[in-house]
Amino acid sequence: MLRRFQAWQPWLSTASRLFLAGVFILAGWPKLIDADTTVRSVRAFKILPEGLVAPFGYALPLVELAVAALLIAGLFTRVAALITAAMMVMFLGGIIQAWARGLSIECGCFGGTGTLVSDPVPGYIRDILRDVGFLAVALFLARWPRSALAVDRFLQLDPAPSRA
Amino acid sequence: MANARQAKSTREKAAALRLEQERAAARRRNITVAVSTVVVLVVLIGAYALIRTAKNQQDAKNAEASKPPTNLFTTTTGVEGYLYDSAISSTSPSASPSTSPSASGSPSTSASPSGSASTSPSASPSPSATRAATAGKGTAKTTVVVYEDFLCPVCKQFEEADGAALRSYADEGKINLVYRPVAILASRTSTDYSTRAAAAFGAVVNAAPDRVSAFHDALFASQPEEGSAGLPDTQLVDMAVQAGVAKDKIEKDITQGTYKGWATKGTDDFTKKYTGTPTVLINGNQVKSLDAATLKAELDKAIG
Repeated sequence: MLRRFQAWQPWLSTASRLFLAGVFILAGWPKLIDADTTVRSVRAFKILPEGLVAPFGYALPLVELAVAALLIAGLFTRVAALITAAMMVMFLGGIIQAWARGLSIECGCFGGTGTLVSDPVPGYIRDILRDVGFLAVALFLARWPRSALAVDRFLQLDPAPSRA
Repeated sequence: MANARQAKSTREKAAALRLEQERAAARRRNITVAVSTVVVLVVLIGAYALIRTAKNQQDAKNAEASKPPTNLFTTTTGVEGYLYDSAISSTSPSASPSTSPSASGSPSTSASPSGSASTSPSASPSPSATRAATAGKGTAKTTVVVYEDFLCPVCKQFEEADGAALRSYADEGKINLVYRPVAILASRTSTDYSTRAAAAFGAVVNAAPDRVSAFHDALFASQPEEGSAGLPDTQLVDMAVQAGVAKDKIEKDITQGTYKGWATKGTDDFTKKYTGTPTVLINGNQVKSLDAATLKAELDKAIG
């Protein structure tokens, strides 16, 4: 069983990398194209002070796409996975506080407006479950960053297998 | 023999030490590369974000400095919009039969919608019969602000369901009804239709306040779809002309986008407080649910 896991784990990690990269591309690209909407969406969460809303809104999609690029290449996989996990925690925090404060917004997670919706609770639950799923994948990848088809392996940046 | 063993073990120790040092060096190198990559990325992304933010602020400043339309009404909470006045409006078919069918057609079809228990204005003998002397003066103690994006389908539905009821309240002199077009869906058409339509609305307010309601209704009646190119400026000019504005008074302002700054400024102010259209304020307080029954209850409560 353990041996089988060891055989499969690099490929599972590769799948995780590509999955998370896909998520970030699907989430980041529309946010980058429609930057003004992203800024409004960030503002709708009512967390950041006004002065930081715009820089955050403009930077967020680029960070997502940069992490996606690292994940696809398999470069600094553990660092990328940890950044991914941290971002998921941040998104979860944003959604949960919006819910707790009774804001009626759509998350704008995959671009979109962060517009007012009449009954936001099903949306919040769906977004939270989805982000928890992404977080689990990211944590798996952070624990087992050694993966097939990775620049890390080519550059021998992998942690030693015995210690992984 | 013992010497040989000792020598061997020393060699092994040295080899192990060297290996350990190499590993440590490799680890340090990896960390250096990883950290510098992250730092470079952060610097690049940060620079981009700051440049975009600066540009954004410059745009906001330009919008602030741009010329607003004349004939605007400013509410006590500082919203600059168009104050609806049926006395000078051509939306009701009986009030001015000369208006084009496309403009007068949309409000009369809105008499049917769900929920509104109030008497529908077009079914009653004539809106002017119920019209109070104070209507459209901006003197009512209750002010209703309607924020709309002319591209927003929900705004169109809202107008169909509640537009007529709001206007009849205004006709009765119970509310000041203020329209403030915004362009939150600016990026949903390839030609920034939302901003152009809101600016065209401003141009009609500026040129012919008595034609604004007709133009407003015409914009919703021929609303383009999200994701399309939107309607061209020439068509906006035609719609304004059909609504009864003299072409020479409107054409330049619409095609040159004279009031785009006003539209953008309104959008900026709006998005700092609210997240979607339509948004309706009663005396500055947002109405949470816009179904006809809730809106009517909120209005009656505010009017007292």
